[in-house]
Amino acid sequence: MQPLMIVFYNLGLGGIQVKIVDIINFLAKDQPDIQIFLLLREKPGDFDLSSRIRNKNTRVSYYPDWLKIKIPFFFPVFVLYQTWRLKPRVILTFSNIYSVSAIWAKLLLFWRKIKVVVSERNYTSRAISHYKLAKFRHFSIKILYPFADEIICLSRAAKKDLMESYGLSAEKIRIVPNWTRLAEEKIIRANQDFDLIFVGRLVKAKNLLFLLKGVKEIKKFKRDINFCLVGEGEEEERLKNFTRENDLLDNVKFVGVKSRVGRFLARSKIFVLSSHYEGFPTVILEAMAMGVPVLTRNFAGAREVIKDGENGFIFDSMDEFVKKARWLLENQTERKIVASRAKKYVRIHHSLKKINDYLDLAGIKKRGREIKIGLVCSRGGHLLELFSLKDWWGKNNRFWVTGKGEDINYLLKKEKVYYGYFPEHRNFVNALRNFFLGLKVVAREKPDLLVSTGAGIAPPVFLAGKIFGCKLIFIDSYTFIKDPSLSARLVRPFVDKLLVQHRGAKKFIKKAEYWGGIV
Amino acid sequence: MIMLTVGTTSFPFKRLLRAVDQTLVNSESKEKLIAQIGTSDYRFDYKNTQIFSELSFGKILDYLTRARLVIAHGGAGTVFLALKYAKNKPLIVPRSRREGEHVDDHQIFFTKYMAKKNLIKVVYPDEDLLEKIRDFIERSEKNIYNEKKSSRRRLVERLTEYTEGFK
Repeated sequence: MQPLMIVFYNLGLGGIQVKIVDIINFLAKDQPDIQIFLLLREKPGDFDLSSRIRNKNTRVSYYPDWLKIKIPFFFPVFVLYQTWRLKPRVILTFSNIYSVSAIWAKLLLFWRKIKVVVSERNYTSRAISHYKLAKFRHFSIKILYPFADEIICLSRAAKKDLMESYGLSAEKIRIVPNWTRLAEEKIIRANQDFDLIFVGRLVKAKNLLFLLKGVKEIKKFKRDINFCLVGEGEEEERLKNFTRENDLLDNVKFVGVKSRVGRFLARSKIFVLSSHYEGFPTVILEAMAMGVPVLTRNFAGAREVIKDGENGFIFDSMDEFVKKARWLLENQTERKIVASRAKKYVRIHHSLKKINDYLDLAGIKKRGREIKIGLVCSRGGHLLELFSLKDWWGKNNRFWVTGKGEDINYLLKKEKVYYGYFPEHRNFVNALRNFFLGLKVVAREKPDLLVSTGAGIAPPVFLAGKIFGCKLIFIDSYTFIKDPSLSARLVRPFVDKLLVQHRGAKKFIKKAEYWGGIV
Repeated sequence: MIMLTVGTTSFPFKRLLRAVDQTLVNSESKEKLIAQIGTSDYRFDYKNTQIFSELSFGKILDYLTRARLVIAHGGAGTVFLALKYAKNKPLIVPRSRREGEHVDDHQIFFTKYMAKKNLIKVVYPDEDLLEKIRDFIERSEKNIYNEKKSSRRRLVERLTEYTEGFK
């Protein structure tokens, strides 16, 4: 089994980071023989999730510091190098610059069969506008995302955004919602000493100043309101200043990063979130799983999970936020009813079982990946012989390269067929044309294997396959009882398996093996 | 019904067509003859003959399955089909290079091999074709190909094993 590569920023605090660890740990049980390479741009900081990885097949490699300092914008080259070196079969990437780098690597290493599965964690077009080089990022998504094998996003709204902002086709984008480990865990009973809680990175995108202003409003009615912020980030200082200046020191508590978020959630009455845009934050699901009612801004996609007043609450303005928060704080029974509905919802729709859907789309489910076979033969007897091995090729993805004729139309009616140039027997011009056809077909279909029972179409198409690194099996026709065919002699130097259908024919050509015959 | 086919190769094969035609004319048979004659230019004397230059693949299978007897040239495709579908052990007449019926004598080698395996009946170029065909029409044997143990399953298993290894 060829390895899986995961490319991302770091393994610090954050929803994606947890998601990556979940996937790795899930694979440890589900597919213990799969090798995983985790490629990270940043070395671990104080908070390092890599200690939670429970999969002994995992190797983590970091982007070297000296490289980062010496050559700017070198990360994609690093990804390309590692992809070339580690030969992954599937690359999972999260967030756009890593995705773009992986797609580049896939395109440049075109002869390898690499499947790039892009996961969009956010409401992409909005999120990117806040980054450096936003225009360039938008541009590269537009150009490169169509080459990704799968694009997975978290909500219908995020999918719509990808389609509208980058012109991606609907069929290409799949929705797999986030999941949380907590979905199936029991709710922790704890003393609810926090009124409001926020968990996440303290960054601009989370619009935390809004929440502090909200606390200030609520304080007018409820002097002892308290708000707990779990997390750290670049906004921390600014937020602390606001707290100080507005006399909220007694009401607002910054507790820093906590590894056991569930415990903190369990101690709270309402989980609040005011981001203007989100993919779909795992932390909302965690709050729901912990029996904490969620009060969130109506970001695009929020209503796909939260049914206002049923399993959570949604607000559009400061007035609404304050009103709903106050009402909830006063109504313990209402909080309990909503919380239990939320718990049920998350258990059904956002449990770890979603990882299955995810791996399915990525093509790394247990049943193994699918093999694609290119069946190459001339019409007539050659076709009949190859066709009679249907019990074998019928189980795999496949396509045919053959000629035109009644038998082809009849037998291959439901098959995908590319038509070669005939007559092909000792015909140099048509051999050349078949070679170029082979190049075109193999580049498009990317088969794992080409197989042929002859005749003249095999050598040129096999040569094309060889260039693209396909495995090659030539089965000499049953009619060659002793001396091998000309085609067999031509392809012998470069095929992986040369099979003859008569035990006695083995000694007439080097490399030949006898596995059985069709008669 | 007798099914006679000489495939669709560009070489004519009048020798076989003529022999079958004459045998039937000389006999008192009224049995229907279906003849796929390919590029051979031959006019049958036998009355109850239906001639086709090239039959559709579906039709070939249909006639092969329904025919009481199958007589064919030694092309591998034709032989494999006849073995698979014919009721009786087919009579195969290989094309000969000397008679200008093909570029080489590969059909002779191939049919010799198949006859040794007792799968088909063969008439070689130096034998009396008329007499053999007369015999065949009178006394035919059952086709045993589909009952015979084949090493195909083994081949399929090995190939499957090989491709499983890619996963």
